[in-house]
Amino acid sequence: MSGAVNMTVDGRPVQARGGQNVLGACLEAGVHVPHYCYHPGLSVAGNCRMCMVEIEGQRTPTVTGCTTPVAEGMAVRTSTPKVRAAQEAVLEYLLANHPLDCPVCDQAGECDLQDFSFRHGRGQGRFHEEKVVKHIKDLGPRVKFWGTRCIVCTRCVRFCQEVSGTGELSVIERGDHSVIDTFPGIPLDNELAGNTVDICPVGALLSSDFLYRARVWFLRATPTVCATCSKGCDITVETLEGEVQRVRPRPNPDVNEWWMCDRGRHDLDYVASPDRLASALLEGGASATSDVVARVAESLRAHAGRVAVLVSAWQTVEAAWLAQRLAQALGGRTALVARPDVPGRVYPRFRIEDDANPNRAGVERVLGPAGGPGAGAVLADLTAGRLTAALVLGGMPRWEPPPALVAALERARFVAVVDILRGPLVDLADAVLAGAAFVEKDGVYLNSAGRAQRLRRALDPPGEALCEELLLQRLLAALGHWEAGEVSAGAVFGMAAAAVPALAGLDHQGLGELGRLAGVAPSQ
Amino acid sequence: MAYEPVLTRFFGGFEAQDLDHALAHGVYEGARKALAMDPAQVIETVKASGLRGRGGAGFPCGAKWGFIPKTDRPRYLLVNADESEPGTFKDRALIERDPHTLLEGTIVAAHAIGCETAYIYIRGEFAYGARVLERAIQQARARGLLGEGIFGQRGRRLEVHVHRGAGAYICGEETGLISSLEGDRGYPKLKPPFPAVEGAWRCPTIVNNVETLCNVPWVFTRGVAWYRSMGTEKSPGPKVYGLSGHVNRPGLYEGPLGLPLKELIYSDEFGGGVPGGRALKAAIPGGVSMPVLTPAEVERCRMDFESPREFDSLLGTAGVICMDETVCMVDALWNILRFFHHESCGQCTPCREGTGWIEKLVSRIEGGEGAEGDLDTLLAVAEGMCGRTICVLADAAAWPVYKGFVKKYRPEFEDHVRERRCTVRGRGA
Repeated sequence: MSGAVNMTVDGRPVQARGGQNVLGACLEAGVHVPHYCYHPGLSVAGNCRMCMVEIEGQRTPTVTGCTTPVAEGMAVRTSTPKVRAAQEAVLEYLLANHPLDCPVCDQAGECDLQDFSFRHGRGQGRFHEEKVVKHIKDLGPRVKFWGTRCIVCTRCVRFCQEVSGTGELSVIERGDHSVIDTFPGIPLDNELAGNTVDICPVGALLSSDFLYRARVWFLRATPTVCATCSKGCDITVETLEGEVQRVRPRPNPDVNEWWMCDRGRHDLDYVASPDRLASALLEGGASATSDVVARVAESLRAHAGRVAVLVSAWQTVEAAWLAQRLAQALGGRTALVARPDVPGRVYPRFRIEDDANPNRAGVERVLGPAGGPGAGAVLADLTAGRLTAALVLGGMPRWEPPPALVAALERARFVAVVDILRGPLVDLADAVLAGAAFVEKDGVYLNSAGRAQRLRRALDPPGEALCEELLLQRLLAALGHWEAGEVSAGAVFGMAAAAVPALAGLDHQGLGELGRLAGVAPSQ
Repeated sequence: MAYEPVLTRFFGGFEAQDLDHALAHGVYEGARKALAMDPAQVIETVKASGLRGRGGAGFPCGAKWGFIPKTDRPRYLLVNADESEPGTFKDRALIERDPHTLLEGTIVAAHAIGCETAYIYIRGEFAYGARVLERAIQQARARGLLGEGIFGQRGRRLEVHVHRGAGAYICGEETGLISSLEGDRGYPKLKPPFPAVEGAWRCPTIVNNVETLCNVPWVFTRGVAWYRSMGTEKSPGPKVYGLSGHVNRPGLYEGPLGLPLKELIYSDEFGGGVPGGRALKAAIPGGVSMPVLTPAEVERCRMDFESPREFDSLLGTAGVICMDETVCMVDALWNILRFFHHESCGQCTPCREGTGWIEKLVSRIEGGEGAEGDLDTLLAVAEGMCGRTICVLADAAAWPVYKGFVKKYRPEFEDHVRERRCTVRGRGA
């Protein structure tokens, strides 16, 4: 069922794959065919009847594109009078019992019912009967349901059957009383449930977290990568007035397909936490960043040859490489610190990784075998007094530093910490620099499969806080080891890629929207 | 006319529920003959007989069996006993009064398609029929007609299970039936794949109507020539006709296919005419989804799979509903649309939303709240439902509107709109 199939769409030659359906082929060829129930990540239901096309030479007047397999020489027409009449009719049926409550509906602005009605519908409805009113209820703790707006496309039902495999949702009742519901006592409460909101083409399934927070057309969308586990789901972070309003998955066939988990979706509270560091600190008091940089550089130089540089698995490739440079400049040693595993979960068609760190693979590749996965030897040397100063690049939310690490740092004579949140390390540090959360910086993460993907800055770091790769460049400059002037994360990455064999051939631009596999396997 | 009833020969009582009685009257002889034949020969014989499905669509039975692919996978025979089209009550009688002939036809069909497991999907309300079938199956098993080594042939087996539906008209649609049997919502499935290739549990499956299977044994006991001696060239064989509504003698009658509808309604042998000497106003030829016929059309219509097409209608199940002059056509249509509104499975947009819409519209017109333009909307909405859904329930709901009542009795609908009341009810009797 594979191999190329040559067909035409509206007279234009299109090459489809054998076994593909007409709708999928049209969409991939960039031809807009309106549809609701079809989703490339789900089985074909064929129930909305919206994706009508005409196949030249076929007996039936119009067919649904999603249920029609492509065939060699097939000539598809997507906008004939018959097709338009069918689309118009289906839209009028869809709106018959719809409440037309767009002004108070969260989906307005990104609603396929609105958009297709505008593009393909009649100007005026002819339905003057009493509408069927269906239930409005919480399906689970984070998903609200408006049965009134539902078009019963069953995307959500199929998602829970096929992708999460949890099967909480079903259609109950029949005919125009058909409505989505859960089974008694079993709410929609799986870790992938948020995806049902994303794939709902109308305003039926809505996120309790986002509900009434913003009109979607005011949101600024930034494509980036999720940091919650090492899977590295491609996401879009949507912000308004300096705050993250919503996080949604971006399709990437090689990473997360169309989905992401709710852990990642709801893991960003810390970004706006009152515990965020908004300025540098010197001995506990707020201080100018430039003063603290100078002080840290001076103190580390004083301990040259006895410096530990600890790099967290949340730091970008760029920051890790600069940290490595810093360690070299100071004759110090590097080590990786990471959050402990959080049990992941394997769903039928989605996997949440155990490793609760987004860039362990990237930091490991940069630090090399000496940087090692375990910080044990470095900590032992700190504890034993063989290393006397430490620079910690943290930035890991919801992280309790292990007692051994805290004890080792307490023995050090000078500790500098770059972090984003107050916590035990900040409390014990002599100098603190305020860093950036992952949504506040550019850079590259490598996921557990070794795919290099770009982080993009969706928000500015709070107050005086700065991206780590800038802070590190300033530290290097203060130590006289940085001649480049302050450069962008992309430029730093270019230097890192030239220096680290595992990153050879990669650059920011070349990673594009979907990233690339880093060529060389990590050294053991 | 010396017509010898075969399908309804036991309709006088319930004696044939008993296996001994059935055997004494030659039931299972056809199966014995068919089982001595090659499956391909059985299919060819049924093709030659011209037997067409009696569930409503009239699809050639032998051709359907011939679609079963050669495969090692299990094959299933599903007996469609989910009879629920209003005006249709033939299968119920066949099940209750002649269960062994149904089992006999099932045995022949199973042999033809190489199936060892058959399910009789029976309408939930037919509780009695389900008990009758269970008992008949037990009797047949005890006598070696079902189960292991049937008809004394080692290695040949057939298990027949009775599965009761849960009260949805749509489960009589063959793929809806399959979904329901599989334990899912009774949603009709996308075609292709057709059931013969991929049906129940994704295995090759044949779905046959009860009356179709009751026809099958006769093709083997009496032969193809005898079978074709009845009915027309394209619609041969015997047929059970249902007659209800305004006729003097409602009930089930057997005759050859192609019987003039006029004869069925008026002849003393059958319906005996309209009560009280009133005039016939309309007749539905075969279940309420088939477009209604006017008295003039009734005069000319024959009850086979071709003739009703001349009047933009179809034979369907041949469950005829007669309406005399006291019946309001708007009211009659509303009644029909209430049924389809209630029974739409809700899967496809046009049917889910359209069946309710047209029902409410007609209800409003009947209630004296019709407005100008309503009839045009009604026709447009009904036509818009057609040919755009997974199964034909939408068409079945829309045909009575735009091919039947509104098309053929439009002035009466216009009167309702103009006078803002029902212009028929209360008039006459």
